[in-house]
Amino acid sequence: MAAMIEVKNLTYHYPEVAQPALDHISLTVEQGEWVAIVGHNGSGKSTLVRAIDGLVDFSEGEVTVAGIKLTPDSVWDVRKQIGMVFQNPDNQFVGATVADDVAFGLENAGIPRDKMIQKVDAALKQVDMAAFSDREPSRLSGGQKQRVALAGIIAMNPSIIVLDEATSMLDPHGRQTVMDVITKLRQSEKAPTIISITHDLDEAARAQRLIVVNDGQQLATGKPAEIFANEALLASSGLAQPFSTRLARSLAQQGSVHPDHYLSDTEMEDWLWQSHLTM
Amino acid sequence: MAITFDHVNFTYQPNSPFAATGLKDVNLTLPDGSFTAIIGHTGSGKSTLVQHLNGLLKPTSGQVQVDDFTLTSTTSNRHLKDLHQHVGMVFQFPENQLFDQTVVKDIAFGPLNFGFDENTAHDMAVQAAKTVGLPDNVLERSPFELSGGQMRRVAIAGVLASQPRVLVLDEPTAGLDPLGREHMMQMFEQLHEEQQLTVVLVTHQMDDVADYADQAVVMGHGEVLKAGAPQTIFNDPQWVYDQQLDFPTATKFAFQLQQKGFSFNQLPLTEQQLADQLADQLPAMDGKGR
Amino acid sequence: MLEQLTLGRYVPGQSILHRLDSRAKLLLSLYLIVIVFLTSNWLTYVFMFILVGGLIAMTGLKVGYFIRGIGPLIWLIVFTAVLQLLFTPGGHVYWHWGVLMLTSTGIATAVSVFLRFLLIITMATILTLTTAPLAIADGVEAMLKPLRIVHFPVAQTALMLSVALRFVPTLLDEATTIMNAQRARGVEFNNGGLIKRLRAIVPLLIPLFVGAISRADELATAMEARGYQGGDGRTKYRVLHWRSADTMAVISVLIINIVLVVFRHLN
Repeated sequence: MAAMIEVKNLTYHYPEVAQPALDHISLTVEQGEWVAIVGHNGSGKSTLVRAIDGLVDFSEGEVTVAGIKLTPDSVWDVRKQIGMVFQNPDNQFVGATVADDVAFGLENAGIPRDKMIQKVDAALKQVDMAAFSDREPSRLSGGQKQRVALAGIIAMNPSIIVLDEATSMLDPHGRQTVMDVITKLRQSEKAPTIISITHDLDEAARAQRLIVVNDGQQLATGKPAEIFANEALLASSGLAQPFSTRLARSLAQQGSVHPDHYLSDTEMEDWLWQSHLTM
Repeated sequence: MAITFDHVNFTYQPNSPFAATGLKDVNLTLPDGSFTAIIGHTGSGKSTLVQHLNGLLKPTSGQVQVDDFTLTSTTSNRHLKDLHQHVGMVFQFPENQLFDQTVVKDIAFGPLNFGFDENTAHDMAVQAAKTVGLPDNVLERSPFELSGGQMRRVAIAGVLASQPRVLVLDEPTAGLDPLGREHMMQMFEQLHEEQQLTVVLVTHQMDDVADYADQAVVMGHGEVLKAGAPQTIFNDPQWVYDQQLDFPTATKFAFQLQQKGFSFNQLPLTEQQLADQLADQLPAMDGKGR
Repeated sequence: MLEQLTLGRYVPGQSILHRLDSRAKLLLSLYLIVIVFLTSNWLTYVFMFILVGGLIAMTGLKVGYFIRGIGPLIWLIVFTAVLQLLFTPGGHVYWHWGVLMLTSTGIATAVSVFLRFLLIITMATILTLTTAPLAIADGVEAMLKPLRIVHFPVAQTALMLSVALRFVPTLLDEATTIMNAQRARGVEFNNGGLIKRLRAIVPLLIPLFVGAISRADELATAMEARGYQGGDGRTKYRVLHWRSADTMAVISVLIINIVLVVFRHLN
């Protein structure tokens, strides 16, 4: 597998803040990988993805995206490779209607109108919002707006999709619909690389790999199950404890048998049933 | 403070092309000192309902009784101030309402408006800041310099400072990380327990309904679809499913276990309830059956 | 009070007026407004009122709704008319006291100012009620196009206008929420003297500005991330369609114009 994103020694200070937001951080994301970046609020994870997209000017280090080294000259080429969905559904909706918003990126790229119409229609179908193409944003729910944002990105066909806490302001139903779109995208032939910043346990569990960021550095990386199993790491990740871990602890307090290591929900179910049968 | 809704109807912008039904024949009782969760989809009328609790909206017909205060379509705005003081409202993303130069001034804003003198208001603000766990050294700083989580605490302190007897919370933990969310919910639980505050929580988090509420109200299309103890609501899984509502995490886990062959006398809503019932069906730690 | 205001609001619909091209509607509204300003004889006023009545009927909306909508503005109109009434010299003087006077010219001017205001506000209301804000923005852009010759940034201005319009409902919602939050903290927005009222606005305006600035900042980042580099080289998704109905509308107005010229000669 080839590296899709390579970050080397990246350092960034916000103006007038002594503590660096990114502190010589290095990491690699493989092509086609789904990586979740986790960490407490203020750990630097959002700054990291913005730096990769050239949205903050870092002072030190090197970023390479799809083989393109990020420089002031190449920044627009790098941005073509990356589609970003931000946290607040309202503050990234540029167009006056759903279709206009999806078209915004295509207009910027100078795509001819007849091609644009096809791409907008296709992208809206993919996120299941085709019936809403004439709607104004004020008449959409948060989840619908985020799916429109995703459509705007799908229409541009980028190699990387970054979800910067894209589901954190949504209700459970909205969150589910957004994650469904991502899951569907992953099944397509040319599955994009996904980087999601999240505090949501389920969302993190869907990733192939977690990167724990703390104080602007990569604290650890590993499969979700590996991170979930390590209580100290989990505490620095800003994630809640998985339900199975909490249940195991409650069972221990009851004086009942309980697993002594992390199990996923389904593994836990099987384990409990097996234990029950030994009774 | 007990609250009663009696045949409350509400229409947004009546007699215009923009007229829209907000509430339809709502009858509801929230006993004094209760913890009520309001659940339902976006646009189901949850926010409209809670805005009637302190007179931000007045019923188009019917009446809302808060203790001995009666709110009807004809209640004049001048009489609402008492109600505003006794029913505190924490809106979604309350940090968006901060405005004053210092944290302590912003928190004291409510008490000052309700007629307390400067010194008393200041003391009430300091007290409220302590309640929400703000460190002393932020009191004289600008609220806009604080982190998002701290700003939220300042805003909540700004509501608590007026010492309301009823606390209305509209998704107070939205956008916080899991740890911040847990701390905040525990703070509300503590206020409810220690000061016997009547709490009304609008939420999408079914775990919060299971963990904290003694009563749940399900809203849909401006109507009360069902009201009762969380246990009663979730005991009809098919109905909950039909309303496209979620279940608490422990309940979902219990459903999976039921399919495997476990059985539960009572549907578990919390991890504790689930562990209690599971323990009876599992061997003890020393390996022997019970 | 503000909820009553209909000027500037849009009611989706399928009437003939709704379906007209926004360029046609903007042009014709501007043209009719100019005519109202040039109107000097009573016959023309009568004709214009009948015309506006006809346009209201064509919107498919209730007349009462237009009348109620003018309510919040009526004092502004009356105030302007009274100024004209008391300060205009000329013609027969019925009464005067210091600088104040009541003259025949004054009465005529006051009545005509009153009628002009009424007509213009109603026509503007008809335009906004039947034209989506976005369509108005598109229409304005189309009409600004000739200014490209003098290097006026037409595309950027149009995008700015469209983004501004798109955020109006968002900011109105936010203002309502902040107002509610501050009312719940004991602020009375509609009570007390002028100073008290002005002071009550501070806790509304500051959060609103802070919020708007952070929204603008985030929106700018989102636009940059989506490849927005300014006006050049952009293509357009939205195009306007001029149909025969639009040509018909323009022809109707031309006929109206001829009628008005005839009226003028009759006097």
